Amino acid sequence: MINKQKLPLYIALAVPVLMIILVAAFIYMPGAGKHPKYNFLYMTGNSVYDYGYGSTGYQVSGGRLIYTPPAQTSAYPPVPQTGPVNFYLYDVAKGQATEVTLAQAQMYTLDPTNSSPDGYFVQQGNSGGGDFLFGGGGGDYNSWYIKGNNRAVKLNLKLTGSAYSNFKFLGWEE
Amino acid sequence: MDKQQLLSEISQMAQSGQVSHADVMSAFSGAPTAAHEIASSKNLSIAEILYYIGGAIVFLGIIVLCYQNWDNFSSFLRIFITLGSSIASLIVAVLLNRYENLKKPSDAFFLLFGMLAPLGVGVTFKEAGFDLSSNVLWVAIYAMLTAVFFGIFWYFKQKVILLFFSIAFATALFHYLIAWLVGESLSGSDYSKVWEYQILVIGLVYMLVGRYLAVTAQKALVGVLYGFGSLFFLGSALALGGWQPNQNAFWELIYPLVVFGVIFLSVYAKSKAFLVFGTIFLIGYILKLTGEYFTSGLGWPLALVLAGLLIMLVGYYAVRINRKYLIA
Repeated sequence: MINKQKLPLYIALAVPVLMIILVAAFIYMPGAGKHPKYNFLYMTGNSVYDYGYGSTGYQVSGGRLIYTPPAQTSAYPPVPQTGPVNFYLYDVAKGQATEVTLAQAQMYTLDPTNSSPDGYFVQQGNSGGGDFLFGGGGGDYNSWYIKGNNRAVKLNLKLTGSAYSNFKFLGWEE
Repeated sequence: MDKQQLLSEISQMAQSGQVSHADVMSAFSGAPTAAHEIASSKNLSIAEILYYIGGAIVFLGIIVLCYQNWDNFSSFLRIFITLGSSIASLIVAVLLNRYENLKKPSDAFFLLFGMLAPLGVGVTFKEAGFDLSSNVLWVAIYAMLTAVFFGIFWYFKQKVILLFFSIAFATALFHYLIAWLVGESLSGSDYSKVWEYQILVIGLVYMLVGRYLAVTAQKALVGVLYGFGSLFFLGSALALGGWQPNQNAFWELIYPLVVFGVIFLSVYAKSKAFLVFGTIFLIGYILKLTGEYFTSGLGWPLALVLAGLLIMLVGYYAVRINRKYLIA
């Protein structure tokens, strides 16, 4: 027999537990048993994240990685990216990156679209994580994630510098 | 009714707060309970206010000391000042609580303990090399703090300040659990929706816990819980309605029922907080609808007139409810 005086307390304890269960179900159930299948190629080097101005010269065209010397423009950044760049193939099943040479990278058939054929995409973290009292958000600008089916898994990238500006996604390996 | 039944009845009524120690003693002496005894058992005295202000200023002093000299402190000193102060406050509070005439000052030290504990634990973990940006770490910290404070409250049952901190830390634990589960899985707008539902649940839980505490000996927290509960619940329900063209029809349509429900509950629970916040958010809802749907064309001026009349009506009935049902 439930004590009627304690009924509000029981409901007060049950409601947040129910919300936690529902959130967990919403986040984890759509992706249960599903994993990304397509590896991707990326490059790292000083300021390779091109902010849309194509400063590195490396791009995927016709399914292949090509290099076109970037033209000088007045747009920011005013000069093309400089310094050495490295290419890595990220194995999504193992969660690790393997360095490849430019020649090897140019052998891959790549899909440069943001979303992989199985619906995953690579995205930077949203905001800082926990702080003193209230915060959270789970990620930060210095991390990259592979997202899909309501799940986000942090990528174990090998980078030459800050993840904020030294990472550029090139394409999904087909 | 025999003596045992009578004593059992008195004990039950004392636990539910219907009878106080002063009432029983006055029944013994045959004299009515003095007005000042009733007043002192309900309201904070000047001395108590000064104890709490003093505790808050001590806390402020520690924060300023840390802020001004943090880079000059070693790891040990940082932990000693924050966690050490917290533990010292607890020890002083427990010692003072043993003396009847020092129970009130001990409350101030329990307050200091509660304010310093998360700071001290956070600094300790940071100096130990843990990453404070991790939600998992904060889940662990607040789970530990909730358990510790609730355990101490269980031992010192009359210390409402410990229950206050237990509820505050449990709220933080709930928030970080959700943040950990969600992680980076959602977009910014979806994460905002999760936040709004979180605050809705927190508000509802506060109101329910307040309802439970109203029939126990820990009545001092009921007003605070009803106030924050209704504020969070009604505020988040209004936010969930959204704004045109991205409004949520379900929450916009159900909101009048929610807010009138809270106003009705103010009579049942005898809570001014429910009445005040219910009235404020009803007025806010009227203004929101006016701003959303009537800002263009001839309809807007007429809608403003109507909104103004409705607000006057809401205010009139709010005062009537207050006079008729809430003023003792």
